Amino acid sequence: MNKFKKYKIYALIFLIFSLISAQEKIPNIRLKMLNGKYAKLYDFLEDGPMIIDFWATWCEPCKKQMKYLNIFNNHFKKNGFKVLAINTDTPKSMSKVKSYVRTKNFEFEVAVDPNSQVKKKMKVLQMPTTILVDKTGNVRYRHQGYLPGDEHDILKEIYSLMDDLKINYTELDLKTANKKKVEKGAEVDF
Amino acid sequence: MLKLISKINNQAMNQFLFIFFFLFTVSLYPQINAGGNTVLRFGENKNELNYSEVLLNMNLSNEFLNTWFQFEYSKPPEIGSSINGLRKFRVDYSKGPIELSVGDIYKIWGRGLILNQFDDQDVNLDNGYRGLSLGLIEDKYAFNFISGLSNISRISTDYWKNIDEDSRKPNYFSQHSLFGSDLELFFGQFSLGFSALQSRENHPLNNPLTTMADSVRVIHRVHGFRSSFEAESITGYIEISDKLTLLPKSEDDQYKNSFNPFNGQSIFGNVNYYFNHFPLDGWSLTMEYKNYNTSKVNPSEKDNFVRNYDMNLIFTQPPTALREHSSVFLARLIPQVNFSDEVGYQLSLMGPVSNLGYFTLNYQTASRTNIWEKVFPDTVNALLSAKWYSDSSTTFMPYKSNVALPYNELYIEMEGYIENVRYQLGFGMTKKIPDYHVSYNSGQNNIWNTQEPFEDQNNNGIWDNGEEFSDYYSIVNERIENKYVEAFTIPSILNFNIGNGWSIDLKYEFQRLKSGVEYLNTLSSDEFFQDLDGDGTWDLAEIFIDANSNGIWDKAEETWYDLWQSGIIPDDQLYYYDLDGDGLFTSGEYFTDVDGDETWDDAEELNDTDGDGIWDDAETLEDINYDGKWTKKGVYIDSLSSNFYIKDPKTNELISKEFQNNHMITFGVGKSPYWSLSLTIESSSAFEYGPQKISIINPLEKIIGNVIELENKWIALEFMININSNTRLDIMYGTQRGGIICSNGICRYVAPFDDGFKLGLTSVF
Repeated sequence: MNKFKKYKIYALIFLIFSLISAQEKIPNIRLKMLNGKYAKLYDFLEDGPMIIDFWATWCEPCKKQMKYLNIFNNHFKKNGFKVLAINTDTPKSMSKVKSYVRTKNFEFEVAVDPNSQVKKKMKVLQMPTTILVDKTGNVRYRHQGYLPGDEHDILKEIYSLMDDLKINYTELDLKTANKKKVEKGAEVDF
Repeated sequence: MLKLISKINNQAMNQFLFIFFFLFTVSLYPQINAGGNTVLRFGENKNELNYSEVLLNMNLSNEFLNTWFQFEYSKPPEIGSSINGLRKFRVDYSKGPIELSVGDIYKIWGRGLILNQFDDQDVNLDNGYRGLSLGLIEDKYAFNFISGLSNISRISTDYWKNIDEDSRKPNYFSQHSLFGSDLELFFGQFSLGFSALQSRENHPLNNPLTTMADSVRVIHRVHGFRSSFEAESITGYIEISDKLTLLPKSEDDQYKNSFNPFNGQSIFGNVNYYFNHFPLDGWSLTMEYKNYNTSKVNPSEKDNFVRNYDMNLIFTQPPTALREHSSVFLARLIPQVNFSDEVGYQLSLMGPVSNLGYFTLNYQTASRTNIWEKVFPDTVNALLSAKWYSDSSTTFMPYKSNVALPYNELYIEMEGYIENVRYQLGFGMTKKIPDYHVSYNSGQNNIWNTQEPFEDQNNNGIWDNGEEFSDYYSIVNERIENKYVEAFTIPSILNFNIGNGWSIDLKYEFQRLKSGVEYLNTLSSDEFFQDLDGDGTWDLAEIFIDANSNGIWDKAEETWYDLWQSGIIPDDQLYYYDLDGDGLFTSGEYFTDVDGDETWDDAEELNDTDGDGIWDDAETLEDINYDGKWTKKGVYIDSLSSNFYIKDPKTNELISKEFQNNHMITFGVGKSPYWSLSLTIESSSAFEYGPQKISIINPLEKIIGNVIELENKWIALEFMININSNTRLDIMYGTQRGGIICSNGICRYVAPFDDGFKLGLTSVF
């Protein structure tokens, strides 16, 4: 009986919070970038909307998805859109993050969260988690995990957000972009 | 104030706190943003590994303020203590360069050689603190000051109080008072960091005199320096820390005398080199080096942080310099890293190979920082006088000697895309010595040696035969036992992207594993035996057929004829004995009835190995090395035992196997973004010695049992459904193999999950 009482309390709290949070907004958290310097999350929103992706070098689904996030970043960056990949590797594999990003020619911004504190503040429970936010920090789309094909849904959400924000953009042909060999060297801020 | 905050753990206070912060935040900041997430985990199976956990995280934030509350209701959790109510809370204030936090705080400085705090529920390690953190962050510098209290719970079999048989419930609780600061300076491509931390600790241990549970107050002080460098084709990082462990002046002498803490340094370095010239254009080389030398722990006590309190720096969680594998079989072989006593390095080369994909070569090796030797200084008492010794020299490279518990792994991987198919193929070779023990046994030689005292009964100053003497235990056998693990592993993955959101995953892993114990004996002199027949060699008892089961060999019973031959019966009395007058012994005539069975017995069959015509009992042997036979002095490899066996289906006899072949196959199908379903079958060619639970055949296995043999197999079906983009449900049904899981350099044994289901629900709001 006592057990059910507890669940009722949680359910009530759950409900209150669900009602309050009509629109989820990301907190303006301070981030540590891959080069060791600090930045505020909202600094990245100055030019336009953004995808925040939580990943780790040991997470296979994360790696599969990152290929597409790089394509999104490169295609929409002229429209002010960017991808921020927050790496959650602990110090034990942090050394490999830079070389992984550089070898794969990923051009998006990378931050590190070695003790998962940013991850907790952003309410991230699964790896990977993809969060699409508009210029004011409102969360427009959140997705947990990655199954092949999820990239199409993410792209649809980007289009939808761009449309809402009245940003002119050219549509992305994922099939063609996927096949295109990346010839350009890395431009990651190290 | 800090003590007050740390004591807030009762339910009423928790609820009060929550309501207070909630109202406080809402009233002061009307533009709040509220949200949170929930995690529900439930598991139930036939071997009573049941758990039920609900975690609720709630966040309230506005432009400057962020509050976090975590509630838990668990009875019991999968690992850890049951909690019912508020588990964690924190308020963060951030405005301009200032950052202030109050509550449950987790910080990391540099790569964690001094401070690295996290809450890892997989291994039940939460080394955060409850207190204050003040930060000042500008473009040119970042400063952080921390102060607080921490109660850390762990599982330890070295602490004898309240040990949980299932290794799920913590029995070791240490209290810490933390105080420290960190300063980072940025100069273009360079950065510099300086840190200092003090932890006053109440450290539970077993009293060295009474062996009862007790505690000792300890002070750990760590300070250090770090620097990083960033350039176009090279980046580097180095961190050095120095540790000091002391006991307060007021501490009892029994603790000061029983243990002498070691103080030392830790170093971690990392260099990344990026090639930009043909043929390695786009390749990178990552080098990591670790040398953690802040305690000296002999191989027998390598993980005993209870007694060796100088290695109990729970806030120090530096890099392991080991690859984190996504392969299940390779991850099981990752060793537990000793953050106080380990030296090693990791090299990783990675780059594109034409359009085929990416190649990775990873080599990692590690060992303890010292070569230890167990010495047997006198021969009076073997059990108490053997002690471990090591030199205090510093090593920069890992040792290969077994006593330093060496480990190495070579891993090669190729991954990439061919059209819509993603492939990943790896090959790993692992070798490690996880345990090393030395034991001694000694015996007497029954011979007076010059240094042995004797009772000089005739006062002639020398020992004469028959005079009593103290016979030292001078025959010493040293037995070295080390566990060994050798394996090669082939993990492979194929992902087919069919289109329209459909995908198929195939995962196959193979591992050939060799594991067991190697024994090496050294006998200082020949084993002593009583040479009854004076032939100079030890004789085993001669074998005979004990026809009358009296335990001794029986000669033939003597007849009147034998007695007449030997002259005992004179000729003139023969007619009394040779009743039928045929001159031969005949049934019914006189004989010596030794066993009283009234019938004449022939001699029992004897294997007369020394040919002396009589049966020889075993010569008494002092079997020092317990091998069941007399052994001459020298060094010899006793045996190499394997951990694996199979059962003979006919006789049920256990047959030792040198290798265990493990296979794991996963077949998955998914429909983006809605659901995925996967079936995992793991099989093993041999059993492992240890308690075996009777496997229960569940309905899923019954179906699959029609196709494959079920013995030594673990079958699980997993289903994931994205209820919406914020809510995900995971269900597992079946059986999962137990084993060691390692996370953040800590390993724990996970019991097999036999015939049950697990449910996980995660939701973000």
